[in-house]
Amino acid sequence: MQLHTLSDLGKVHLPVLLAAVIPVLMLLGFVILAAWGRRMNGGGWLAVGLHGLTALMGFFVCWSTWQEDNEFLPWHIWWEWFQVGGKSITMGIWIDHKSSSMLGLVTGITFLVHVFSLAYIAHDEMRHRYWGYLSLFAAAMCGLVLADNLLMMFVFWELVGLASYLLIGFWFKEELPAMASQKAFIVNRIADAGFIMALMLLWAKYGSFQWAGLHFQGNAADTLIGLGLLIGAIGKSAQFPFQVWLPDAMAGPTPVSSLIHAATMVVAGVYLLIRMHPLMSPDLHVLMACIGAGTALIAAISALTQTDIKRVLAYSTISQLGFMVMGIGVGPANESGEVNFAMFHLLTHAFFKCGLFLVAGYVIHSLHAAQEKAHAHFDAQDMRFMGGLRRQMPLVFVAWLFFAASLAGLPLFSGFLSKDGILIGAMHFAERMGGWAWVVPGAAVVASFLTAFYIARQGILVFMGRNRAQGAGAKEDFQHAFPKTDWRMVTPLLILAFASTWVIFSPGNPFHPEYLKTSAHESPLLPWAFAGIAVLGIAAAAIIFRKGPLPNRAQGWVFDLSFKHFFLDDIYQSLIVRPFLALSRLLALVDHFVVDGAVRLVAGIVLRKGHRASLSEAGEWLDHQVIDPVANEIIQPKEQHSISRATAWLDQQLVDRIVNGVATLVMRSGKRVGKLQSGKMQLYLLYSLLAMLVLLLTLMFIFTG
Amino acid sequence: MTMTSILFHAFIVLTAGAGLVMAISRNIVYAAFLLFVVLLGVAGLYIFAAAEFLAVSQVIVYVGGTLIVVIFGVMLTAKMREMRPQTEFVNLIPGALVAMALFLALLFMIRESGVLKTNEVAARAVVDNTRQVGIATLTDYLLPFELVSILLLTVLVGAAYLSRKTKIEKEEVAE
Amino acid sequence: MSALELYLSLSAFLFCLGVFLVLTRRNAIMALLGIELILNAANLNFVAFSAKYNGEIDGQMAALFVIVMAAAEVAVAFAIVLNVYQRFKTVNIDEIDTMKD
Repeated sequence: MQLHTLSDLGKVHLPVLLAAVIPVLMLLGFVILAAWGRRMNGGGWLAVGLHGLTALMGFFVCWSTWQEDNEFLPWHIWWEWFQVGGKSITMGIWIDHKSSSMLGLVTGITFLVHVFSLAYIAHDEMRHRYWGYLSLFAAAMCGLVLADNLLMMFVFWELVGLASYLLIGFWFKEELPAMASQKAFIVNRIADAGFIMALMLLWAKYGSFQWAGLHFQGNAADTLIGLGLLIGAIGKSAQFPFQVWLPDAMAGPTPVSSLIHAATMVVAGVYLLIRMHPLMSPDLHVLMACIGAGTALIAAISALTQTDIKRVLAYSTISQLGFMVMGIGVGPANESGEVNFAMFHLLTHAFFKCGLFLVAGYVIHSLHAAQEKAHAHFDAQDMRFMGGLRRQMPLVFVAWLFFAASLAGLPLFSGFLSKDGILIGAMHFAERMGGWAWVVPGAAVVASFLTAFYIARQGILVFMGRNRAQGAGAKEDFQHAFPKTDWRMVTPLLILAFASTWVIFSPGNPFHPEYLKTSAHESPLLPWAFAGIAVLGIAAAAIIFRKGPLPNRAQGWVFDLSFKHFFLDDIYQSLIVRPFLALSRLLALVDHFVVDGAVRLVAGIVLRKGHRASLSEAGEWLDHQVIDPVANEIIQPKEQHSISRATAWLDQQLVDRIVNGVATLVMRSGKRVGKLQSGKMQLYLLYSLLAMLVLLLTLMFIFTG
Repeated sequence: MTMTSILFHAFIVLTAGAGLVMAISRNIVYAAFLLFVVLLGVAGLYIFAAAEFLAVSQVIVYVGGTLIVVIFGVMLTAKMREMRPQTEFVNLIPGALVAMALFLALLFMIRESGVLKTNEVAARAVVDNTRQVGIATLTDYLLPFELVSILLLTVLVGAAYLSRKTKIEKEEVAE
Repeated sequence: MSALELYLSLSAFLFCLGVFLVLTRRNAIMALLGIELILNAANLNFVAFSAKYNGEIDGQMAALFVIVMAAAEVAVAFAIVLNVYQRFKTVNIDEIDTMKD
């Protein structure tokens, strides 16, 4: 239904109206918190109240769509946003089972994380900014899931990216979060270029951004659009080769990691792919399956050796997102032609992964508090210094058991229901494709074995055994220094633990979600086989880690491969980042000596100030800074990782020399250029007028001559 | 040549001449009064272009208001005790060169642009110019009009705030 | 020369005089007088083109708003000049160079 005037709102279905109000309310919350948050003692209770209200509304919207059959959906309203070149761009709200489920998920988890944060962030001086950013994020995320066209989705897509950037860098005074936020932003921008290109192609080909009714028609443009969207999606959802930003993003506050970098924002890419998969060509589906399976396996391997409690979960998130992308790629596990299981896994994963992160947050928070009280100092995120925490936080331990069982895919838990669907879909895919395609389900099965293994390892290191903090210099009484149970933090955990069981998702049948009318169970033993694999993984972890973390001598290059995430960061550093920086510096050099030099030459003549011509200096500097070092300097051997050794020689001989030389050159010449900055405004004006005059004359000769 | 034409050219010469003398004058007070002449000349030229309301506004707002402020400024800042409200030049030659080059370039562009090749300006008197301006102000230009009123209020407050004696200065005075 | 050309040439002339004043005068008030000249030059163009296209009042409206803006600008600018004078005991632009690095 198209809205023409405001009075048309009266005719809109109530749930749709409520859904439209949710992001507006959240945005209002952001504005209020941004303006007056500091005076309201942070404004935490306001934020919690607001998101409690929106969670109720979101739940209502979700509930009312599930009362309807699919054929009466979607509820779709739209209105004209603006006109350009005779075509109108619309905004609208699209509510079907997928978007309403996402809405319920986002509002619900946002509320729980807010309650958790009340205690977590209570003593931070900048907490008003925290609450404001969270509201901004929630508003953008709701807008993203409700959008009825790709342009609107892109707008909110960028907004969630901004909120994520702000929250990763929440403690921007420290170096690590500041760098991590930039990395996340830049990597996402690179992937977003794909999204933008897809949008332009879509507009050029169809003259509309609406996704409804788009399906693959077998031409090249459709394939390219699909490819662009896929690139954008794998950037946001941290899939190979863009996944490097997510582990670093853990530098933000843990509830933020829980909400944004595990449960909601990172699944936006998966959501986009689910929305757009009818437009994807069969080749792209295969590509998706391979990317998903590969990422799932790589990330699962990387999670095995992490010592930081949050990084384990970060790699786990990447791995699970890989499962979802693979689930879309391999196509349906049933005949309905829908990618239900990827969507289903998205929903179940959001609850248990959010829960796992909140448990990590609780552990870190408690350890910090205990350290302060007992005057101990060690890395509160390092699992090697934990152990035996089940005695200090029994309820949290129980909740963790629920989440971990769900992640591992044990029966009676939500992960069992959804992961099996994806695995069976992968098997069908392999049967269809034959031959090499068995690699995909193979990788997925190995990844799910490793999943059970690494999550069991985490539990054993954190909760079982005896406390190893004393090895890190803590005193005897450290174990009694833990704070009392804080219900503001434990209650959300218990709710999430409940949501990680089968009850919400498949109340009738704990072993199979009845409404996903699947024919996948022609071999009823298959799900039990997957559960068996999970049990094997847990058992293996129990045996290997029964005496605590492995001693350091057990490490080798295989360990390094896993710990450093296949050296992806190092590879990017030497193959992309450094050459890029070198190129930038080279261009800066050209800019300075050729462009600025010319300007200064002209200025020098006109001003009669007798600036010496710069070009001869340029040659002199080049000689000193580039050629001499190459000839003279001794090569400094430096630490190399085994895989980057091949590029090391080239790197040291050429790239480093150029980079260092150019950097020095730019620095010194910058000081000279600085002298132009005399602080005398009239001279500035004179320079700019000169430039304008030159431009004017050039244009005149172009257009008249 | 008609009388109007002679007057028109006389205004052009007056304005340009006053401007030139103003630009090379060293005395600020002279320059301020020559600006007065330039503004009046421009107001006269507005009348020749059938913009009477604008001409009147120019005289009232510019000559009556703005120029008074300028002269106040001169008197408040020039070292009147020395009785030499003279100013010096900086960057005289490059400044003059740039200004002349700019002028020549602009003249060249005016000639080459093709604006002149179209219809001649009809120097006609529109009787209801003020009425037209009034209607435009309250219809098409209502939003800018209201914005300008807010701007003026802001400027009023801002200028008063800026020119008050600050705390530090008061302390200095007290010492 | 046609009337339009005279208008445009005079406008260019006044504009360049204004630029010259702004560029070469040490005294901030002189520079401000130059800015007034520049604004008037622009106004003259607006009005000339308004007259060229008979009945189009938009040029005059723009000029009118520029006059109002100029009044506002002068008020604020002189408040600033007075402030600067109180702080630096001079209104010479080139002596106020705290912007340099």
